[in-house]
Amino acid sequence: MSIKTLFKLWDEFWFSETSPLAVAVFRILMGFIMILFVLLLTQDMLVWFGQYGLISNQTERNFAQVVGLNLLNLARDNDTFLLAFFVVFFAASLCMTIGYKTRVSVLVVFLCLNSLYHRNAFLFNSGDTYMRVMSFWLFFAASGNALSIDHLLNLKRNRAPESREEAEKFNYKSVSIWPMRLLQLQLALVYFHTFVAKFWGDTWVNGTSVYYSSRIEDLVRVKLPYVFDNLWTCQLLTWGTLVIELALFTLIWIKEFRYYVIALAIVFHLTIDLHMNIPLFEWIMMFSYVLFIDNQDLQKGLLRIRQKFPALFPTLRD
Amino acid sequence: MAPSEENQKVRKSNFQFFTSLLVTEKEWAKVRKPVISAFILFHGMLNFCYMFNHHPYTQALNYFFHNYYFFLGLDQDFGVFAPVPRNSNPHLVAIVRYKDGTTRIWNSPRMERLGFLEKIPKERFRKFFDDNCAWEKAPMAWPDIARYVARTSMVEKSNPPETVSLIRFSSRIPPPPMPDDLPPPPGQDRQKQEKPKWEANPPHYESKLLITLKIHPQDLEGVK
Repeated sequence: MSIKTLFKLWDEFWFSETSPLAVAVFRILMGFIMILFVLLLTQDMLVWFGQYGLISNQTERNFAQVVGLNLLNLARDNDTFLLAFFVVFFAASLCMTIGYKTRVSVLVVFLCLNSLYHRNAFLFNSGDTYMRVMSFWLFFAASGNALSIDHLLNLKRNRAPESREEAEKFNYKSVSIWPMRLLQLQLALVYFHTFVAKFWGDTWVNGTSVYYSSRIEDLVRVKLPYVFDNLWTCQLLTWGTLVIELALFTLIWIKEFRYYVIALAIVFHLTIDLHMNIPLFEWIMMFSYVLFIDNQDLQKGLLRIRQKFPALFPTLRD
Repeated sequence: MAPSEENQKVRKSNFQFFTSLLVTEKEWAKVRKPVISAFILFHGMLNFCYMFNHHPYTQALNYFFHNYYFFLGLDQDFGVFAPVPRNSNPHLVAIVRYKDGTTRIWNSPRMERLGFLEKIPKERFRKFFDDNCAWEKAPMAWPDIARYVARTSMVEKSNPPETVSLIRFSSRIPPPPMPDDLPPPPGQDRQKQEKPKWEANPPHYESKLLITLKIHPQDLEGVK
């Protein structure tokens, strides 16, 4: 293989064009997650981030030792400002979902997620980390070029690059692919890292990891009978987890295997979600698979959904 | 308006969003690919070095770029249940001693005792206490937690909390009954051997005093 070929491959992978549909669907799904994220945090916001909450600003700074991008530092230890911050965060999540001022709203969501992380890092799990990083990459994507209020307004003003008829068929003008590639790679990176981190663990080798994780009392949502009380099922699930995670950063890139891998992964995450109480984590992972769905399949799927639920897809009236 | 002109308009607005402050459209067309490639490679390298931080070189790179990476919240670790899942169940208890010598016990929310729907909004308490602050990995958080407990345990102004002790109670998850690889004792048939039992989780039998903090009047600020 020559250097020229390598450059060509790089160019094809990062600088070709694709429909903005997949990132737009991902933006909407992630927007729903962000709305729930804010609502779930709001009821205890003073406990987690307030002036007289569990962790002081100073302790967090001492823990981190370096400065983080934290909007809450604009008015430190001010609970009124915190409340306003949550209102803005909620509004931005809503705007992100409906696609109004899309790029700005994605940026605000990222800044808010980042601020909360830097205010109380003890609170957040890997799913939150994933959402934070994904919102950073999503900022670069043209996710407002489809299924958004921004796009509808552009159609109305004749500023959209496609006609109304094309837009009604979910047929959008192509955009640069590199932000979507970053989002896809980030998803693959999650599974790559978790796979490598687990691979050498004793309990992952002897097949008892699922046994131990099923007996972490504070995580249990629904106790599944039989499944976690037999060695063979625990071993099957432990090694199956590794196989699925391996497939999610390797086989998912191969078109012929992709949908089988995604189907398996959805069953995997739904099982975890049923058994373990980690709200939103499994859902954001499942929603991310939309980034790997072929554009034509996505178009077909959306057309079917619109046939059944036309109210979900607002259209322009002359 | 012709479609090509419309495209131009949209493209220009996107272009303007990122780059109009720095370069002209013509210049951007020239440097676009190298700049984006450098951006991708740089962040790819940072991600790799942060996640696989086992070599002096990757550590050196992390050290060099940590401020930028952390500032933007791009530091990431997805080692869920890795290298092995937690093998113990903890909960945090605080003993508040008041000025008059009486005591009160404060418990962190016990997720396993909450109902199906109650658990969902309280999950952060599990993460905060059971995964992080109940353990030695977050000792810097203990004084703050003790002060918080003191504030929330204030009943009468004339009888304020004087000390708060944080205690972690925990128990080990019993190991699963693995089949015995050794041959059965002479005269005993493997088939007839008693099947290993699957034990339930024991109560939280271990205790560890994490901190005892003397509460000062300024620690009780904000109590209504």
